Amino acid sequence: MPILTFAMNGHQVSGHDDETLLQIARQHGIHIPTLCHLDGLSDIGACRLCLVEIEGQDKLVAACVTKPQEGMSVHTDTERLQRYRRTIVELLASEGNHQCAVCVVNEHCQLQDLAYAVELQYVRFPYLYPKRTLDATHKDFVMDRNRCVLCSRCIRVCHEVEGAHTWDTAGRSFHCTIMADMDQPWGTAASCTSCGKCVWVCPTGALFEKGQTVAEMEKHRDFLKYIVTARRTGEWIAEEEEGE
Amino acid sequence: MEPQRTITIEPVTRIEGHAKITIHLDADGQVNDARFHVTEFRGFEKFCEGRLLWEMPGITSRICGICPASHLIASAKAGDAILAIGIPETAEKLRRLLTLAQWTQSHALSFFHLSSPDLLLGFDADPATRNVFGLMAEHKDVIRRGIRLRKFGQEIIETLGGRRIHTPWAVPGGVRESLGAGDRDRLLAWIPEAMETTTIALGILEGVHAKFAHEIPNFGSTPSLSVGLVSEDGGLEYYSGSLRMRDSNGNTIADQLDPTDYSEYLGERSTEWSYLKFPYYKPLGHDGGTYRVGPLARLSVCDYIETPLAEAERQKLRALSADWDVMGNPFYYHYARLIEILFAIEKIEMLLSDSDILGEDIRSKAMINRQQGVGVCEAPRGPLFHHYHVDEDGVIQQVNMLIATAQNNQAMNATVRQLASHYVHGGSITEGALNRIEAGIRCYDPCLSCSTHAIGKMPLQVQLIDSAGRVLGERSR
Amino acid sequence: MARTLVIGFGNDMRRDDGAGRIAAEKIAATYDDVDLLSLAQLTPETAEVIGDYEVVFFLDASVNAKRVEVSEVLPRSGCRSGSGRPMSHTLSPQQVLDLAVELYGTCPPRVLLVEFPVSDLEFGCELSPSTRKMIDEFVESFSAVRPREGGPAEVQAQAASVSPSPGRP
Repeated sequence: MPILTFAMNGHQVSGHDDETLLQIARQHGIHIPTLCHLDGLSDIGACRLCLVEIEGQDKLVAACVTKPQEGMSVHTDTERLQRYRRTIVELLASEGNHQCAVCVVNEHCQLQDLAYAVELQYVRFPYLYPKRTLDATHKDFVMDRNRCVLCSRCIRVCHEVEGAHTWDTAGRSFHCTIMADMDQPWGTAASCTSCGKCVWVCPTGALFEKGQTVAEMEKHRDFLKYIVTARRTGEWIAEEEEGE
Repeated sequence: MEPQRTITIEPVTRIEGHAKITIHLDADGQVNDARFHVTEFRGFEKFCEGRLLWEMPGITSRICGICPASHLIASAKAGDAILAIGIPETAEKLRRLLTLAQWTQSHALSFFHLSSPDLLLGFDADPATRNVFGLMAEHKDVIRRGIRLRKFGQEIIETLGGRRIHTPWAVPGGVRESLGAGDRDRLLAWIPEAMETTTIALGILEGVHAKFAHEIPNFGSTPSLSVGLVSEDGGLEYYSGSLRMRDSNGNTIADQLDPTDYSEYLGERSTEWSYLKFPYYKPLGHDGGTYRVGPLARLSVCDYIETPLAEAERQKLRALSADWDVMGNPFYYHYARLIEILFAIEKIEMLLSDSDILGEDIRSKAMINRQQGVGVCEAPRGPLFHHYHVDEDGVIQQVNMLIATAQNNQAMNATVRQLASHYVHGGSITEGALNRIEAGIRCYDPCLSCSTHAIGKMPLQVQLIDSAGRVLGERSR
Repeated sequence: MARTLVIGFGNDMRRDDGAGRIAAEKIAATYDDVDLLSLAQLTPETAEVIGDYEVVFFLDASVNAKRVEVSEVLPRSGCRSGSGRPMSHTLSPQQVLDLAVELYGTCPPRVLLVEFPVSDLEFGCELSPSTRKMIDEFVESFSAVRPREGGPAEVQAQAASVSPSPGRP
């Protein structure tokens, strides 16, 4: 695999041509915020938080799905990017119904963490207070669409790792939601194996274990690394990414 | 989540609250009626619909900044009922501890801070000095002690609930955290001081009873039922047990009522002039079914108190008059409150000294086994009912909360009516009359922010209205 | 820097009503040397702690304020403070200060009341954009508003959006 050399925030970095800018940045200790990305799952560039600038082109690109080119110059933390990232978090916050204070993952929530990370000052957009549903029909788990940010981690882990493909999206734009099987109550979805992976990878309180009370649910997502590594190498170890 | 609905209510009415009293005169200028209005809006129940049962303690304990612990317990108990499980013994003892701590801090605030100025300075004192500040010149130590007593209750609540703000500690099935030995010892160390403070307060109140001997009989002593929880053998109860009703002559008219069936025998009447509903005992109708709840009602319905010092005081209270009058006179709410603080401290000591209290088995887990459940406990101001309907998955379909202050609503009106008849003459409201009406309401220690599920910093407004509906006079403070 | 306590109070489940608390929490998170009390309401025991500080901020939501209003709270002498609120269980900042003076003989040299305007008091946790904006501007300007020590009021030195209104009763 050819190794490419290019600039990131003015420093020379190098990486393989099949690695993403996000991977290479992490290997070099450069932090880029993410939400839909999760180690072990495919990347789809859905959340746009990892947008980076490439000198010489106006269009911003998602670092999680962009491969490097020899000699390019990438910027990961410009003022424009900071502004956009804040705006994205503001839009996420205003688009759902996030009542942190009474949420099961309060203080253990990746959306909350992001709000802190981007120093969210205030939400400039009117809250939409959409009418969304809560599906508690599964015997063990709950899907609360009020708290969903449509990162699609649940869809990907179900399809790519569990192989069940219970989850998918329905609708478009504001009406886009996560649906089970043929848009039916989760508890009746025949494809679901009740493995719970979707619950653990969900960044917010949209998916959680039944019986959990406010601020009680902490999600551990490390299991994914073990599974993914075991698939590839047959060894039950978590491969640490370089630079992490 | 509910769709967004805009209910436009002037923010001023909402945040400042409006507790208005109107006094209605007949054609001859005599007091015909008096009404205690609450013009607030009640939306908490709607807000909870569509949420999950397990979230309810966390949501409902935020209704009120004064007695969050009582809402927490009632909500967790409604959850236990829906899960249809018994909770571990240690969990019940810890929840009892929390309930008593809530009594202690709330009663201490009421007695030492809100009521003591009336009691120590008298109702005709200048209102500018007739408050805690006016009291301080002579009674600084008592007030400081009252604050410490309140802090003792608060300390228990914080220790149990964890230092982190707003993590709901009681949950359906039990509690989330156990009590450590170090914390137990720290709380036990407070007992002697708390006891001493309560004894001092009881001594002060005895003097007050002598000072106001001539006024007390006119203090809104109207016949009404008393309602409260009692234990299996008729003792004072606060966490479990059944409801008992006694009439104004001390006759038990209903006993061993299952509190979870409350809607069968307690009705709620709405009026066009107040957002606060009027609960009543159904078999006796709207007027005959008027009842009071809270400290005095609890001491009226129980046969004894299980702790010795509080029981001795209860007997002294009963002996104040030969007939049952004393138990219907709201003035004695103050005394009842102190007796209950005494009981709470004695009982807290017992609970903390019980080795079970440090147990680690504190939470039972189950899924939805029933589609409705009622949780009841005695909040400082009276029985608090949380009634939830859920679907088979535990999603809240309907919520009803019956709150102590609402249950005193009719009795408060009767008290105001009686005080107004006695002290309002000649088409105007004197300062003394206003003071007495205010003090009459304060006997019940109403918590309007909670009974209307909204915030409130309540000014008191009293209007005098003639038979033609004209406002003759108005005073507020 | 003077020992500073920020006390935010209100109901954070009623959107803007919790403005004072959110502001106080943000200030405490931003400035390491500021202590925090975040309360549903002010109660007598609040009086016990304020005497330990040189500067105390009370942060509240107000339906009357049009902009962020900062005013000085001064102790009233002679035990003749206005009557309490008869129908409630809460105290005003003035009463807390008076209690501290009368009961504990302690009086922080500087006590400031900051009131944030409100526009939305529905159930929920999010603040309205306007209130949130004002909170954030206040938090940013806090070091300018904050007295260095018990010296003269520096309420004049704030950002343009923060309007001082000294001498409120």
